[in-house]
Amino acid sequence: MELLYGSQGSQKTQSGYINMLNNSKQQNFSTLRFATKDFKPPKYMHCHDRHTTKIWQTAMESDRVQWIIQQVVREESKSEEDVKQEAEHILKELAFTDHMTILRMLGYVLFKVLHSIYHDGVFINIETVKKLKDMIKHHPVVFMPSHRSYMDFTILSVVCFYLDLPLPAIAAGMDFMGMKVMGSVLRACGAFYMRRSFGTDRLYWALFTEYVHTILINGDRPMEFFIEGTRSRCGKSLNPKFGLLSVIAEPYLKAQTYDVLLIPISISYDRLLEEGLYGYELLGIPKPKESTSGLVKASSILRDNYGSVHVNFCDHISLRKYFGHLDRAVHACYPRYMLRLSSEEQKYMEILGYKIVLQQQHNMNYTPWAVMALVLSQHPHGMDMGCLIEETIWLKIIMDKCKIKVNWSTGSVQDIVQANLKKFKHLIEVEGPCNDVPKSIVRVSGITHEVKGHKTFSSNLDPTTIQETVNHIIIGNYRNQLLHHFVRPSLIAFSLLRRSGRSCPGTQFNPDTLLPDFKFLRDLLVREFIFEPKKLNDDLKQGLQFLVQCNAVVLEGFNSFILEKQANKLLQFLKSIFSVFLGGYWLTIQFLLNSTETHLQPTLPGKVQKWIAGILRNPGVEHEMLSLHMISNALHALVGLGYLSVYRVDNQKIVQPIQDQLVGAASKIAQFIDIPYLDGTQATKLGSTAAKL
Amino acid sequence: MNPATNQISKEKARLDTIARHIQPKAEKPKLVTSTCISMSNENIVKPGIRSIPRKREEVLKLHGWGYNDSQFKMNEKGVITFTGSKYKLSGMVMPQLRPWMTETIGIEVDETSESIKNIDLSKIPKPIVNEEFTNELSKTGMEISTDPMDRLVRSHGHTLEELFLLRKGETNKRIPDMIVFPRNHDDVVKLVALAVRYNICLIPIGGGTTVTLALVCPENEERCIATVDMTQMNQILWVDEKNLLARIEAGIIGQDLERDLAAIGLCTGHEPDSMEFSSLGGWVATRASGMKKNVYGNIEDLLVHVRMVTPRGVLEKNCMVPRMSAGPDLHQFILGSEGTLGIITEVTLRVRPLPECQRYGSIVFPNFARGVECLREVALNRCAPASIRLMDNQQFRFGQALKPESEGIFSSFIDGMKKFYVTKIKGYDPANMCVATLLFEGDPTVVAQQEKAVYEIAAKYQGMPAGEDNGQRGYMLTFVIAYLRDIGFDYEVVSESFETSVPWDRVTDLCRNVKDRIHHECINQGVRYPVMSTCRVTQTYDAGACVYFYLAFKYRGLADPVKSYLAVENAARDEILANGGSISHHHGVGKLRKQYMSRTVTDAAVGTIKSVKEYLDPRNIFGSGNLV
Ligand SMILES: Cc1cc2nc3c(=O)[nH]c(=O)nc-3n(C[C@H](O)[C@H](O)[C@H](O)COP(=O)(O)OP(=O)(O)OC[C@H]3O[C@@H](n4cnc5c(N)ncnc54)[C@H](O)[C@@H]3O)c2cc1C
Repeated sequence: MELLYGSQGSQKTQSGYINMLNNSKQQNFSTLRFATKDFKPPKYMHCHDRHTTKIWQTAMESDRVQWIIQQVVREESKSEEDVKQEAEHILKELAFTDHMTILRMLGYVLFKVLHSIYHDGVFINIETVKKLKDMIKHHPVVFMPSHRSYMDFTILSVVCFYLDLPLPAIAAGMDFMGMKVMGSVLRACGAFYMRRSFGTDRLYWALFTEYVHTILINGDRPMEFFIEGTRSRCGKSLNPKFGLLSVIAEPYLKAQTYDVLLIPISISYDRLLEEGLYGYELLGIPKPKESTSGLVKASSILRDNYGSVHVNFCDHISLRKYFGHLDRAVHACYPRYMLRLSSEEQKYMEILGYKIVLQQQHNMNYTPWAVMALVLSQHPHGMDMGCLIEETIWLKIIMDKCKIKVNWSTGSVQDIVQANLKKFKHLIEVEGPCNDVPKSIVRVSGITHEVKGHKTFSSNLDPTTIQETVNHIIIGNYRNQLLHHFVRPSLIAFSLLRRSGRSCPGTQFNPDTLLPDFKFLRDLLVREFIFEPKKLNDDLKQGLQFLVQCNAVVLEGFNSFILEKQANKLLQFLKSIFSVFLGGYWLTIQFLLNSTETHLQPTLPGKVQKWIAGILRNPGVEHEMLSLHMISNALHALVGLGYLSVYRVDNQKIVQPIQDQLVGAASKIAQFIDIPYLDGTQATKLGSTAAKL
Repeated sequence: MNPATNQISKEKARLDTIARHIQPKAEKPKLVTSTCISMSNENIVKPGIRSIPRKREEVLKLHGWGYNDSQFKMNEKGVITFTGSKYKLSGMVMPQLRPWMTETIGIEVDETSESIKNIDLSKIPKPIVNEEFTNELSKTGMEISTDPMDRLVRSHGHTLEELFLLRKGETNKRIPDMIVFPRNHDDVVKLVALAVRYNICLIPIGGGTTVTLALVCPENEERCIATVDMTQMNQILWVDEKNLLARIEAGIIGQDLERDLAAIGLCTGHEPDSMEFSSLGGWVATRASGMKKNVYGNIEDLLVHVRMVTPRGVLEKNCMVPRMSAGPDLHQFILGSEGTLGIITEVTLRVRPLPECQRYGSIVFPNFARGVECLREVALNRCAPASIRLMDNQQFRFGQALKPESEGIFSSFIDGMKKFYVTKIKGYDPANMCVATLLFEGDPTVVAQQEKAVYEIAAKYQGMPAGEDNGQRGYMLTFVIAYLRDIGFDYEVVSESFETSVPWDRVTDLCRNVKDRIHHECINQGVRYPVMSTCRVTQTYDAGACVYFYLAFKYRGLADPVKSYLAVENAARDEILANGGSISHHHGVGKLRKQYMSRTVTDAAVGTIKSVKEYLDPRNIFGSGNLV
């Protein structure tokens, strides 16, 4: 490694990153050297070396599994032989293997692939990794990467190999296992497969839990899992899932390990491989089944340049420190293999989940393109280039003030904007006089490059609607990467602008008066953005802080703020970013109010989508509102608020609107935004009253 | 064989056994060794003789452990020797010990901290005297002493902080104001009555080996504190061979009791590591546990009847039966009362015929976890020998370092093992290897069966028999290990042991986590040298085990070594509790671990203990302040 990546190879950039693909000029040479390099990762001090088969055997012999097997035998009157066989089968399906040669071969291929698609490099924040190497010796660690692409875990494994970090055991989704060759190849590199939902199958749950525990406790490898549960298809972080997190925390809480260190990792991409796939998926067009041949076909698109990737290892979270105030002796009076966490532990587990996601979010890297997407998405019908540049510059200033780090490459903003428009020409069309650049019109392209394997016919939407919508969704996704920085001040903006529509400089306000609006909007958008539960006041404070940093407001006296001259532009901007969400939510409510049918939960978002597609030409209705993700977030939020109730009839979940509440919510939303237009036939009696309010 | 000859041969066998036990000089039969493990042959005291005199300091150290003549000491050549003549190790040189101590805890020959030679008795706190009480008491004929030396040597136990202070020639602000020496049960009854009348604080003391600060006088006690030295009540009152019972006065010291019983072919089999110096009453008052409890039981199993004099009167049962159902067992309130409820005066114990056969053994395991699994299965199958102990790797290596120069039984562990399985040793990593020591005791056929069963189980866990010598050596070291702390002190090292009990499934995790915690806390405290934290499993039960930790570090550079040490021990105890371990398996609570009582049992339970105290001793005559 020294030879190859030493002096000139792994020079740190100013910002503390090294570029793993630095030797691209002598690519073939370095790829081979990479794959055959020495690999001497640090080892957890209490780790006993063992073969991978021993790992699943240990899980099999564990008290928990034996106990559950006995239960199943007794209660489902099966023979012990059968249940054991079933268990063994599940474990083999689950387990990873360990083949260094396959891994090196895969490393070879992957390294090549990375070279060919990420022309600008794969960057790693090396200082944190150095500390991590030492910590790995003392405690079991869990990698918790953000999850926005299939590339996440391949990149992370290659990075580990490159940096001599131990290769993780990766809790991967079953969909990968289906892939013929790749399934086993990934398994050979540490992936183990978990079913998406196994909440009810106790045998599966026990086996999975013990499998994870034995790896964690013995520290064979770092564990790796995605706290968001699934890939985020929309550029934003998803709310954390707590199941696997509890499995990870249990050995510490039950004193089977001294500590466990969680390492959130933010992986950011300049351009996602899946950008098109996601665009379609969010519209409800089924993704092609993961298959190796699919991957190979997809590899034809791998010829493009996807810019760079940033892998940011965040500061670790020690479970021992985090749960330090809870007495683990609460688990002393029953066998440890019975899953039982105290209500306190559950409570803090949830907060921990949010803490991790927030930390991932915080350490993301942003490209100028995301900033441009933020501007472009405000102008769905296009804007002139001059305006785009101007607004991008304005945003850059705002973001600099708030210390939001964007990788502005060198050169003028104008150059950067134009370079990016070229990079993303598959999404954007530019037309107009080539001699007068500022006057040329930039707009979202209506021509999409059909992604192979997509079955558009199975959708609720007609092909033309799909065609003209996909790129809006994709650009929205790039914009989404940034939104968590803006959401808190923007909720304040909504509140400040609610009555007057504009803000007058010199207006004084007490933040407490903002709270009811802030809370309403925050509750409504809980599914859309990451808000730590019960941190309403902190969120408000953060929002105010943002506005203070941007010189939009100043603190006056003890608990009162004054609006500055330049506040209005910022507030209007903040309002307009998030209006599309509130508009989409409002339409969802209108549909619920208008419709007289009974709704089954699984099909409801599709129906809402279809209805919105029908009124797509109405003023105020935007393409993005067709996103099923947005619609189902809206529905979930409404359920959470108690505006919808869900009940079961014959194993089917039925959604029941609660009229008064929904009418109230709709009229409240209408106070914050210019609501989309609905004419009399589109909105029935209820809808129109609500609309007028 | 006709019954008569059978009877005769049995009788002869029994006499042989007795002879063996009381005359260790006699030619030793091959595989059988003496029970009087600590004493070397020349110094055996005749039955009936008491090993600790009324003036303890004539025989025992003032500010250290054990006999005056016995200590680890560095000789002119810089090699550590064990002085005196009381133990098998006495007079031997241990060339590897100093290098080991340098490597594992960082001692240096020229970085020392000598203890002061004599304590300046004029500096001892002035006694608070209650004239009337003293007058009334002297009328009973009991010996009373206000001699500063008498008071000093009965003012403490053997915790690190107590000895650290004594070595500097200092004492606690409050020490006993007078010492009373009752001669029998009736004396104690009179004493307690007078104490109640004159509102005197009483603290019973037996051997003074407590390691929980149980004997420390509460600093804010304004009454006269009379410490009641029980050691003059040291007779075996009677032995009932039919029912296999013996009534014994509570002040008798362990080794005297066993020796006297051995003279008539019996034993209690209760052998705490402190048995050379601790007393029967102390055992009952702290719920002590002996090494051979697997055969003989812990003190609570041995106890058939007990008398305790309380301010309310004498608490005892009116019959002497193996078991009874008459509400909650009152003995359980006396056991572990730690001198807070009254004075234990007479104890009736189960006794057993001396074992015909004793054999040692040892097993090596590739690692600690395997050893624990083996011990668990041995316990599960109820084939545990009288004693079975599993040492972790560091203790195993420490045992190596204690190897004396001379040959014989002390030849190194590996040597001993090589004799058995020269070839098989491959595959055992010396950095992980552990050893279990075994002591079998009883009928030769039973012993043979047990041996077979244990070694078979061991084989399942890759345990390999490693010879008798290694086992025997392990047990021999039991009694000298306590002397090591003093030489540690000499070289700026503080060390202590503490113990816990824990369910089987948690043993390995607890051991690892506690050792990790000790290391982390030592770093927190700024310890600059390598830390020794090591453990062993010393007792096994169906449901779990007793684990014993040793902790030592060099304190050079720390502002307050005792405070740092306590922070480390408290962190370790916190970790133990978090890992599902107990506050103590046998040392008790005293004042050292009082703070953990509320985590150990519920409020209602603490309240129960308090209310019993409130009834028996409303004026807090037994005011040592232990327990709750
Ligand atoms: C090196 C060493 C090894 C040890 N090994 C063991 C071991 O293997 N197993 C074990 O269980 N313990 C062990 N201990 C702890 C200690 O020896 C025991 O707690 C022992 O039972 C104390 O007996 P003692 O006579 O020395 O009591 P003391 O130290 O004199 O007193 C202990 C407590 O009991 C009370 N007490 C004493 N006598 C009476 C009485 N007659 N009536 C009422 N209360 C009384 C005292 O007030 C005090 O609270 C060890 C200690 C040391 C220093």
